[in-house]
Amino acid sequence: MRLDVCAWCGTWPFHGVPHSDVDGLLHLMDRAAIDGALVAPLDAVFDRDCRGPNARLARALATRGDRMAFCAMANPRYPGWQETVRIADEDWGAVAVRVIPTYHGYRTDDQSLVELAEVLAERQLPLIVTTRLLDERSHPPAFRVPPAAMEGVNALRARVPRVTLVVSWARVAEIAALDDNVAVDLSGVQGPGGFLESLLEPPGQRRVLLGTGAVLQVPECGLAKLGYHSLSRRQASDVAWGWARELFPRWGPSAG
Amino acid sequence: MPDEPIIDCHVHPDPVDLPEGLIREANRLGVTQLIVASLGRSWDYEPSHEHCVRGNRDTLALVDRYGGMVLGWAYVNPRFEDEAEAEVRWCVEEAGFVGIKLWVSALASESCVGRMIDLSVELRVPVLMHAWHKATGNLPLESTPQMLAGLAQAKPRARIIMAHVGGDWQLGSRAAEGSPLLVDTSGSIVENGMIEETVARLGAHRVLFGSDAAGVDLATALAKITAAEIPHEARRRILYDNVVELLSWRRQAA
Repeated sequence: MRLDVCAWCGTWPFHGVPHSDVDGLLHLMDRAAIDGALVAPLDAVFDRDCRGPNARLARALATRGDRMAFCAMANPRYPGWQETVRIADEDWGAVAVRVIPTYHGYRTDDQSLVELAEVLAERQLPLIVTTRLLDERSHPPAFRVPPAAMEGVNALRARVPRVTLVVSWARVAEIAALDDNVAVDLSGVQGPGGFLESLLEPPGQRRVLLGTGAVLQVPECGLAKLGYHSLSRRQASDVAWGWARELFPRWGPSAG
Repeated sequence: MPDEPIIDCHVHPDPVDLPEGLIREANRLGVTQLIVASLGRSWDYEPSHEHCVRGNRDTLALVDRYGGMVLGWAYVNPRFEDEAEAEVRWCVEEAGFVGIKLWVSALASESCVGRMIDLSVELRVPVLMHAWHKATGNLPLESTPQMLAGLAQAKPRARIIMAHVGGDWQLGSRAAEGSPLLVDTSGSIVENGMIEETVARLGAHRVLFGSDAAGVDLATALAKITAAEIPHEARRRILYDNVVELLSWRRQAA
């Protein structure tokens, strides 16, 4: 089984992205033999008020529950974010809440993120912190966004230990700067060769989850990392679906 | 994985040897040949000539150790013009290296680079040259895709491969469109649509598979090509045929 915890649907404003809607993502999942995806709305990255993009994506996913789970976006610096989270949870059945601090203009040590984490802990919803969405070298010249800082994530972990915390789209060096009890997905790591082996050392210490970054990235590139010659079957299955099932208990049929 | 041979045209040792893990991965994935360029034993953007020579001897040792699985690029700093020319001649004519690797020690618009390109035409070998257009700012002597396109237009007989599709692949492939540049797909960028759009703009005959291993995961780099929604014939060209054609240029002369 393969569960992708970092998938997106929607509009990317800077260049055309093939297969970027829900049907397109499903096509990519079928092509790559991915059983389930936790999907967030790309439109919410560029709309400070995430409520509308959340609702549109949740509606679009309503008939895809067998393969796709809804991951809401939240911006804790925008008025009404508590209601946005409540709606995502109670009306749309969100499996997790994703934030993208630097695109929404705050740091990972911002007090508002602590408040969001506390609300999510209360609701037993995992928090996914998105480090980036695009290689910084490829940003449009008038829209350069720094990556989220890992120091703030460690501080958040310490301040709200009850929340399930996953860092998404980080590089190897950034993951190395994270406390061991912060889970990570693989969407931001393309090398060096053997990196996954080193991230999983010592065994059981770091929870590493499959994340492809589709539709922005080629999902098969994410899956390719799992085939590394020296991974045990247990290690590969933990990354492919085991940790996802444990960390996202609300994930439905596709998480079987 | 494709049940046909695969050549990775863009590999670096780490920094002297190829990691055992890379060789095992190549065997697992069916990558039959690696074309390797040592950039020297330390990270140096403007290396001495001796630094490059030492790297080339390391590459030669890998060629010898791995037999036909590893081929070599001759890495030089073109600013040391006479010494660089002598080193390239030795590497190609005596050591059997298959081409020239240029990195970030001189801009593509400089005459010393032009001299290396002229030499490549004389020797009938390709040139693998780094290019990137970085929103974060280029190194002082790091060429942009536009510079490489200009160089290729000025030297139409040369076979210049722009590494990484220019990094920012959309800009890179657009810059290459009106020139005879070839491109390789190496690097950590795995954006959806990269290969399909590059092939649509340039044609599959101008696109070569490269990974940038050992810095980039070989399987991840290969998946960009194997997953791309392009015709089988185009994939075949990218993974194998185009490199074979390039390497046959010199053999035809012989």
